[in-house]
Amino acid sequence: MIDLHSHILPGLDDGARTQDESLAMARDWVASGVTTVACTPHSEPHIPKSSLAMAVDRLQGALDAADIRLRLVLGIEVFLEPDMAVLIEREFAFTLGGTRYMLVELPFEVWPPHTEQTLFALQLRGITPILAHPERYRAVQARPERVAPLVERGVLMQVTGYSLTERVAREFQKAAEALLRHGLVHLIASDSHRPGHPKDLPQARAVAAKIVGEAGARALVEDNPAAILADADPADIIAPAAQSSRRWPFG
Amino acid sequence: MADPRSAPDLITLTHPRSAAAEAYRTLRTSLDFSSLDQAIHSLVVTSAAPDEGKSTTLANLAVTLAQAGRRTICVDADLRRPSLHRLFGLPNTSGLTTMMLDDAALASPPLQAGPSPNLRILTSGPLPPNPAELLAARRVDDVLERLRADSDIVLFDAPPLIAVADAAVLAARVDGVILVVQAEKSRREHVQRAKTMLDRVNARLIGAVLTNARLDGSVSYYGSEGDGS
Repeated sequence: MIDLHSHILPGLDDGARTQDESLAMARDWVASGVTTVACTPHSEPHIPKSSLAMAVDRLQGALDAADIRLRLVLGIEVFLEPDMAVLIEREFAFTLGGTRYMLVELPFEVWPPHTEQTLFALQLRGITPILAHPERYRAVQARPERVAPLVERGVLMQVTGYSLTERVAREFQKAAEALLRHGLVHLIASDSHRPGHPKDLPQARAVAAKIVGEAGARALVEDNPAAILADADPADIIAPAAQSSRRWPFG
Repeated sequence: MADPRSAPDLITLTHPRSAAAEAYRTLRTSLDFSSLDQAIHSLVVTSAAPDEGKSTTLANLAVTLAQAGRRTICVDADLRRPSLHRLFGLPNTSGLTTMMLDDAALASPPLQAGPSPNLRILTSGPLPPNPAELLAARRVDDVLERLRADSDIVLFDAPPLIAVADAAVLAARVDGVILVVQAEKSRREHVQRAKTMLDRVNARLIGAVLTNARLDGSVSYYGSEGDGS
């Protein structure tokens, strides 16, 4: 599996606090069957891309020295703001591993009115946005189908593993399952902040398989993230459709 | 990029001697004659309702025009359900919307080579949240002017007329409109409503194209109905 959302880099945000924690997280990923992890710290206007790249190199060196077989990719979780052009020019916002795909997030409580326009502006620059954890936004919890027009216009959706495993909140789980049933999810990632979190991914994959089938679940954690890191055409990244079953009669 | 073998809807390329390809050549000829008093350099191809074959018709007409040596540009102005990139097997990273909003793209349009030497395609580009607003902007005239400067004819694929305002807005700014009507599917009142909408914006309806007609006695009956509405 490939995990495209993590806070494994130590001491940069609310994720791993020390390198020891980073290494413990890395072991969890390997034990969960993950081969590649994107390091996506929250964007901070005082930390330049070059510092993040150095942090990734340093941690990769530590992983290699400890014989932990995990490949790290440089990325960032960009907080969506109306004027992304400036952030991109100054490299406070950039894509995953140099591809066309950018991980973006919104505030949890309110859906900013500029969201649709800003995502479109990114696409005009040739960037395909990946919206992080749509199920955590109150507006999506109230009406999961509100992301459907975004998906039609080519924005990718990344659900977080723990939302499906009911470790955090019932609302997250309900929204995440609804998004999967409507075929509105392209990726599942762990959004790990601490040791233990990476283990959500295999569990989440099993939950997703009940809704979108085994092949669909594989697309969410293997095929689609691999295609993204290979900078494949966005048309090739398909949200798996729900399987019809007794449990989801209107899937 | 554009491999005609992977484009089964482009019958003018895959089966140039078929009856259907001949029908497209006849359509091309009718275009020449319908433009005696005013030359046609830009056209909107649309339909009344969705899924009546407008994009396939436009693509084949474009191939036919290009085969006759006309420098042709196809523009996907269906910013809701674009399909020309799929029809021609092209990527859709940039296109019309890029030209609408980026000055560099207006100066140097992101045209892609089509399956014939004289045919180039402007795909839709990223889809905007406000398509009708975008197509109503003055900038459309700049885009049109830029594309015309580089071609003999520009064909716009526009969304169905009665579904959204986009096609009518665009129709008012080009030299003519072709309405695609699908035999035994298009509803008469829809086609009539589409005609009324075009009249309201003073668009010039050049003609109607009947698609999916059966090759038997009923054709001429429905054909004349479709033409007259």
